[in-house]
Amino acid sequence: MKNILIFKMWRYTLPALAALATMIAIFFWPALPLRGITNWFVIYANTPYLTFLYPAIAILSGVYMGLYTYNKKVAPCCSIETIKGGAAGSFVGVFLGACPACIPVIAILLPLAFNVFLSRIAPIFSVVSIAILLLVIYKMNGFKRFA
Amino acid sequence: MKKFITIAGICCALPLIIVAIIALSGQKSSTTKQSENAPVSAIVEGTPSVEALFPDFSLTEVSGETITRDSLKGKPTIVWFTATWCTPCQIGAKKVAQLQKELGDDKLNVLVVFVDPKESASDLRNWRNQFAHPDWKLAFDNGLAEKIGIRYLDSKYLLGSDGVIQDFNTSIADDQYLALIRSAVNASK
Repeated sequence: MKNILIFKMWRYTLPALAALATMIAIFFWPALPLRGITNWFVIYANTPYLTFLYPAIAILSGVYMGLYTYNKKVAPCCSIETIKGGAAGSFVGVFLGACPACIPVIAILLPLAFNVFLSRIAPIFSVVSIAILLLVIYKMNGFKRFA
Repeated sequence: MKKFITIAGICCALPLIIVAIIALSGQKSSTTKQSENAPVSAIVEGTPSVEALFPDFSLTEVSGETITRDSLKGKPTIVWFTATWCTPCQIGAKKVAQLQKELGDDKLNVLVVFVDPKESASDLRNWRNQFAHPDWKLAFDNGLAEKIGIRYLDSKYLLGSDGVIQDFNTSIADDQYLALIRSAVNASK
């Protein structure tokens, strides 16, 4: 178990720091557009789908960043062709999955009707984001056992 | 290494740039001043600004009553654009309803405009029972949001008793916003 890459990478300072920083940054960033951590926590606690899905997105994005750092700084473990996929997964989860109604990033470019539609299907984006991140971590050999 | 720095930089910078754009666009809409003598016809199209008269409109309340700008004059009014499933709006509505009970039920008008076309009248009534005040007016958006350039859910206009816009807010109704409502109600006494 300890030798599975997603757990093993935590033994190394840089990948562990990169993973932790990404998890914290992604989990807390909605506090910025929501003008305060209290507002974010209130929304987080009152939005059922966010309760489990958003922490999962934050953790998987962190693991993805940790694996990337591990590959670069500790030992080559995987092809980095999947980087774009992981970044896309995080992007979808962070900007479209985390309550777009509260963080209307997309509204800058799109009309209200489309924003409303995207907000209504935000839980789907969260699930898609998690699926993409899991796939990318798998492709990066994150679930593979290394000696 | 260079590629890593580039990607990490983009990942960090992108959210910050987007947040900055949102903050700046919100600031602009809430602080842009319209000429005091601007005719109403000049502000009907496009986003109305603070200190301008709110554009005239006609919406049908779920009870069938017709609501216009002039029918809401006489006390401070919140025109709130939302959807029943919008969580920040639900939280904010509860707080504003509570404040209205404290200030006096008849001291404030709240017109909630629902912009999701998939919702029914019973959805709106259930929303009012769960999160709002029984006196709040609920109406489906009849092109008003598009007409005045609303782009975000939870957009709220606070109008004075004369129909002039005192504030435009797109974030959750927090204590700061409640204080603004309180001062608008006190000023209209």
